[in-house]
Amino acid sequence: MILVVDVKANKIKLSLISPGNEKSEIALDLDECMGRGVLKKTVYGLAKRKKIRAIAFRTVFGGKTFSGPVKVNARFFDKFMNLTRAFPFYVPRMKMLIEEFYNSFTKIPLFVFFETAFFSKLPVEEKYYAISFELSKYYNLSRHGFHGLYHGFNAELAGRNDKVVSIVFDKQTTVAALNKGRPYSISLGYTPLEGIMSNTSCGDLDPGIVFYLMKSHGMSIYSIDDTLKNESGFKGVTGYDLDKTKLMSLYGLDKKVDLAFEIYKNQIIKYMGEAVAVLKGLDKIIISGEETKALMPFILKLLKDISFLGVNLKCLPFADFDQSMELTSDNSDIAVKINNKPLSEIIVLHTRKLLK
Amino acid sequence: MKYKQTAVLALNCGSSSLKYRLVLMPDNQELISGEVERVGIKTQKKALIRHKLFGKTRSIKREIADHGQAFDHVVKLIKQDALINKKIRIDMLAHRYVHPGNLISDTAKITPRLINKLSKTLEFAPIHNPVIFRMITQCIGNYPRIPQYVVFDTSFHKTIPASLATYGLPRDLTRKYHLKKMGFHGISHKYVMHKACEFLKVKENTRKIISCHLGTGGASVCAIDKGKSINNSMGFTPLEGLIMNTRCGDVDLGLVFYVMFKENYSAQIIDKTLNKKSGLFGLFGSSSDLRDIIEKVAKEPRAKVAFNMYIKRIKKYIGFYSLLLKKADVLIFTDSIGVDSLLVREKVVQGFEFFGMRMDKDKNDSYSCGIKDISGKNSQTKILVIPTNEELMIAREAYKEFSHDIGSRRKGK
Repeated sequence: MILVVDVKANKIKLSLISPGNEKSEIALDLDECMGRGVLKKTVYGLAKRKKIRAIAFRTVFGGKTFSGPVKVNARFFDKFMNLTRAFPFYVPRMKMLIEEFYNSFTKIPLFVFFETAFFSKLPVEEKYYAISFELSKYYNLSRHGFHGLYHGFNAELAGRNDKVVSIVFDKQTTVAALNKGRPYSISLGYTPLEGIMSNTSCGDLDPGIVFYLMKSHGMSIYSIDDTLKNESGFKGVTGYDLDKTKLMSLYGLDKKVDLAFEIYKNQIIKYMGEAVAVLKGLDKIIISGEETKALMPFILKLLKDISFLGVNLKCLPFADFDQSMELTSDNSDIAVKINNKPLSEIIVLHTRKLLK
Repeated sequence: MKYKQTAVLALNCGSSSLKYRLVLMPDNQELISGEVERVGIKTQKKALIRHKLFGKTRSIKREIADHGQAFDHVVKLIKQDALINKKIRIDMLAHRYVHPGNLISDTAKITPRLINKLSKTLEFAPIHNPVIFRMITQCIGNYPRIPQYVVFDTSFHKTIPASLATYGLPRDLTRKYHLKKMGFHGISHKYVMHKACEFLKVKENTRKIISCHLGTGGASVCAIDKGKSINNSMGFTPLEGLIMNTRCGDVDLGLVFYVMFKENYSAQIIDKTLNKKSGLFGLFGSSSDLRDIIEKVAKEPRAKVAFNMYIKRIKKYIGFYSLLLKKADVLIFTDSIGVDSLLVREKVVQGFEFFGMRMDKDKNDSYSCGIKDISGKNSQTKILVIPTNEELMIAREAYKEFSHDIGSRRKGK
């Protein structure tokens, strides 16, 4: 059995996965279990019943330091803490959590997987922003990307020479260009604010707007930061405090919701177009992420919009969604595939490889 | 309804330049054209006036402190020319205005009410708007009897649909402050669209066009569907979009916030950094001129990275617009870099067979002037080089509105 520890914004998800990929999951409130022994007790309880061979952590940020998964040892923590400057709230909490496991389960190997590691191989002109090199260097400002575990797995699924646009529909939506197992572009940059809008964050925005609001209307940087991160995106455009999977039920019925999904679609198309331009062609589109199933009507609309590229969709309804499946017919120039493998199973696959 | 022959002096104020053109409308006959360079900037060199009358150019060097003085010099030269040619006179003045916000969207006659509106828009484009505004007020003071019109860089983009113009911001905020994608270089994009369709002998409302306005300063890409702009790489301000000489273009705002929080920088400092010290200048370090960077691409790694990033950003927007338009019929290169740099055109189109774009290298290499089709034999997309003529477009647009005003007045009578 392998235990996958996935830390979300307020929750921590523990997934215990057997060699036959049978899964049992427990979700805990992050604030309640940090440093109070709750986690330890829960995992001890799990370990009593079934033998845990390894514990794998999913971490959102590895900076330049971690370009692949690592086995936790005493030196890991200092290296990890060096990332605090970039993520001052996240890194220390994550370190505390991993440390708790490291001290409690001394005989079980621990591995840490980073969502940014896959993008350490981005080409140099993709990594940097068009600001002064000195500034980039001084503050370590470069594109880190996100959803590296999904995109990396999608790169493995494709043929070596396939030019792939990989899309992850999750709380955050990202689009990556992949070829020969490597990333060539990614929509999300130095922070999750760049790229495609999410439930509450705005996605790409003219920086001139920020200066305009500050200089001409006296808004503070803190209030703008809060607005762009927590009051924008689907919430801001629709006025409904619902996530996009729930808003799907109003799609086609409410003008504000329709506008939000149109903006969202155009942002995805922007990054798909960019990816095709960077790859100089397209063979496959691979879609993954936790929200894929819920957003399926929207995804089909998106694919119809780009059908002129040679995307020939199969007739609806599609077969059992729990499996990975092809959405396109055999005569389609561009294959569209849904990779429905959950993140925890992707992490388990990598962990098994590392254990070997 | 058309008025009698009207000599329109079109004025195009840049941050440190003044381009002008005297055009006889409605014949589109160019009488005088010229440019005053190095206006009001700290340099050891004097300002330079290149004044062209019926194809003959005179170069004059003068100390010129601001755009007002530059305009006075231009008027003096035109008056001198008028002594030897009866056709030369100024019946109407037409100004290019960069960013009117959401307050005005169409070409308009300058009236006290319009001046009042324009005075509220200076902050939208702090480099250009105040300079143009001063020029307009000076012209009103000096020539109160000459009708004056203002043509907006953003007008062409008012057709961008809401789904592409709306930012993912709270509705209250976008409504209160009129925040949406405005788009720029509209006068140029519209001009080259007309020229392309005229050259290809096709109707505008049947073509899907991607227009790349690549200037030495600002640059933008525009998606045009059936004669209407449906997107532009620039946003609410000219900062968004392509990598420019000193502007960063698209950037992660999280990065901006990070540096501002960290160093407690004011909006002014960061604004200046992203507008004046970034882009090609920030990447290369010693020049913001793409031509200097191209010279050093082979020798200096920073020049290579800056050049590749510049090209890649243009390619990305063409990729986006190809998907948006469902493949383009025409790709246009215009303005100084777009017309003068065959290397930029070659690199931008390289590998775009998937989008149906193939360039004929010989045709591209041998381009010298005027409009030229540089597409290859099997290219599904026509690739054209078209020098822009913003001043002519300004004169046309102003004259159109002027004729309309005269017509309305006569009908009223």
